[in-house]
Amino acid sequence: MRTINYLLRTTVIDKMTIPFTIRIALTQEPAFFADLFQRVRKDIDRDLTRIDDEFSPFKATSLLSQFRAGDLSLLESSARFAEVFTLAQAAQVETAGYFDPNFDGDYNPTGLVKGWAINRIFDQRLRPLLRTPEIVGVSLNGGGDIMTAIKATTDFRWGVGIANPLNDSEILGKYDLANNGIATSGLSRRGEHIRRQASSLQQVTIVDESLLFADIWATAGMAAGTKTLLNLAARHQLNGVLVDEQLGVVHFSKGVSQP
Amino acid sequence: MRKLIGYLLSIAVALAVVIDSYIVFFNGHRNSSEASEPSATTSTTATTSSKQSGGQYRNGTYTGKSVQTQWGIVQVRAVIQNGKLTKVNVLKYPDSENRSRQINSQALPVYKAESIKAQSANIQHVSGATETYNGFKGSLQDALNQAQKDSQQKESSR
Repeated sequence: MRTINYLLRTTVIDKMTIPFTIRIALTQEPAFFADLFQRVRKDIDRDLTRIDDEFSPFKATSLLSQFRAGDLSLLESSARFAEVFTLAQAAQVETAGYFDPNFDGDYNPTGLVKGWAINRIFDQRLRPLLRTPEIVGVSLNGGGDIMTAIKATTDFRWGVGIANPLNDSEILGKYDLANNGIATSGLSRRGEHIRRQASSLQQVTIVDESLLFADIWATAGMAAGTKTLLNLAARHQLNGVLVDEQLGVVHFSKGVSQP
Repeated sequence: MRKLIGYLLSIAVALAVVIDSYIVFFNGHRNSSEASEPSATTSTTATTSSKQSGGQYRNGTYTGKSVQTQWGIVQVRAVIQNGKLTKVNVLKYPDSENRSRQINSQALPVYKAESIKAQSANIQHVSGATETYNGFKGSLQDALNQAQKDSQQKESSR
């Protein structure tokens, strides 16, 4: 065995009261990197501000608030708004209704907007950086929902720990991820007032290629409860980890619970 | 060869005409009843019912653009009554194999269960449910973010 040292460069953006951590792994730091990193940070900051302005349920001027007040024309005038609307409706069908875009009595896609936004920003701003020879990995973590990517030729992997819902200084285990999205939903997740079945389910993590998909299923899984979630995971071949008061930690791969 | 292309082109045009007339027909009648799914997979036509002043829609149907998703191409059709969405139908174009293809092509993520101290285990991120910026200082992720280097053990290369 030999040990390879990779450099990590990290910056955090505070937006929508969520910490967004951008991390980049390098073999060595080229002279232009500091400027590049600054620029990417600024672009992502601007992207996040725009998404907050469009989709915040707390801002009276947001597209979402206008839509909820009855302006249905946004489905026509904003391609992004229409896309999220379509995704939210599809998510409801695909998750047997457990992802509910009308959980508060009106249209509210909050359960997938963060995943959608991180997925989109990552593909646009960070994934292309892998063309830089020295950059072997890029990642974006928005309050625990994460996108990762690596160069095809590297053996670098992003180590992602699964938080222990009962002790926030501990993790339960880890995934070594290449090109993935990973999302975790729990009892205390804010802005996501899920209507839940009575259940002993405490936390759900889903891993997929797409963070949008992982986020939808983590949200739906929390609403479904342990037993239904495990059935849905089997039917849809989901990968992830759940924490249940009675069962403890259950890891499932392609929907099959692992010993 | 040229003949073949011409033939294919005429089929494509015919198909487009069929799709168009389908949409015109559907919206022309402002019919809220279910219709069978169109079989085309690439329609990106957005059609809506007409608007009253103030951005409100009259009773009718809104048909959204097609959106590529993990489940294939989907499109929503919403029924509007008294300026409100009363019903939303999701149309999925026949591509149910899409998701299974994706699953089969995915490399399975490797999970290692052990309660470990994150700082000692080549971990760069934490996936959790509770993190807000207020609680960020001193959090596990904050601690991990301080690391400037990451050491990964590799099989020695021959």
